[in-house]
Amino acid sequence: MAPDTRTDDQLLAELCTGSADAFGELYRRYRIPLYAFCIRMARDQDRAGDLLHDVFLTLYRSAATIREPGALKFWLFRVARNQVLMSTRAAAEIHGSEFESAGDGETPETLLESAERSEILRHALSSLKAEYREVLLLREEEGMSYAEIARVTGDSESSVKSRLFKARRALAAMLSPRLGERSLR
Amino acid sequence: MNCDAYQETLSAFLDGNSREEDAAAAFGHMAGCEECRMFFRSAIDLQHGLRAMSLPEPSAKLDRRIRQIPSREKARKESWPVRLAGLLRRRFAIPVPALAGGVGLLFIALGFSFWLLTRTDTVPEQKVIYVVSAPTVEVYGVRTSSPDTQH
Repeated sequence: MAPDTRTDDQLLAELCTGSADAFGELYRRYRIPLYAFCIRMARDQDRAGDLLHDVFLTLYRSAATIREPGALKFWLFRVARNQVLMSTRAAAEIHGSEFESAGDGETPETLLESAERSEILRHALSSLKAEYREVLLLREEEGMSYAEIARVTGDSESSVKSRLFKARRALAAMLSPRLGERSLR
Repeated sequence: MNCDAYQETLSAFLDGNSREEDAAAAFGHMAGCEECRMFFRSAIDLQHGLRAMSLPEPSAKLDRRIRQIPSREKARKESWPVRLAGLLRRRFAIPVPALAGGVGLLFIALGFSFWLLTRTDTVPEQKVIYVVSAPTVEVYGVRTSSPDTQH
C-alpha cells in the first residue's frame, strides 16, 4: 500500500469535516510515539491505553481549535502530557502519595545484574521524577528540540535545558556504579 | 564555573544546543576532571540506550477502540439529548450548563410536588387533654374558685 502523502495540516482540515479516514491516518502516524510517551509517563499499561484513547477523543472533538499550522504533533503531546498529569493526580488521590514514588522494591543496581539493557533503562526511567522523565522522553525518543519541548511543557527553553541536565545526572547517578564495568551501549 | 555548570554545558552539547566557546571550555575542563568525564560518558551511553529502546505498540483491542471513535462520536451527536441541547443552543442561545441546571431544578421541583401529593399522614393518633381552670375571684368578700377547688 502506498504511503499517505497528505500532510498533517491537510488531514486536520479533513478531520474538521468529520472525516473518519483522516482520523485513522493521524492515529496511524502518532499512535506509537504517543503510546510510548503515555506508557513511560504513567508507568501502567492499562492507564496508558485509556490515556491514548482520551488523547484521540480530544483530537476528534477539538480538531477545529488547532489553528497554528504544523502544530499538531506538539498539540497531541501537550494533550497527552496534561492527561497524564491529571490521571496521575487522580490516581495519587486514590492510592496515596506512594503512587508517585517509583519504588517497587527493585533498584536499577540490582537489575543490572540480570536484566537486559533496555529493561534496566526502563526501570531507571520510571524511578525519575515525572518532570525529568517527560523532557528526557521528548528529547531522546521524539528527537524534539528545546523549543519544541518547551511548546509541549509550557516552560522556557532554559528550563528545559536545565531539566534535561538534571534528568541525565540523576540517571547517571543511578547507573554509574556499574558503568565502569559494563557499558550501557 | 564549577562542575555543575560544565556538566550542564556538556548535556546541552549532546543535544546540539551549546555555544562553541562554552563547549570548548567544558571539554578543556573535562580533560582534567574525572567526575565530569564520567558524567559525559554515562550521558552518551544513556542517550544511545534510550534511543535504542523499543517502542511499545497499542494492543489490537485498544486499536479497535480508538479507531471506532468517529463512529461512536457520530452516534452520540445524533442522540436526542445532544441534538436537543444543540438546537436550544442555536435557537435560543442557551448554554448547555444553564440548560442542564434548569432541567435539574425542574426535576427537583417535580419530585418535591409528587412527594407532597402522595405523602401519608404518619403522625400517631393523639389524646387531647383539656385542662380547664378558673381563676380565683373574690366578690364582696365571698371567695370563689374553680370547680375542683376544695373549700
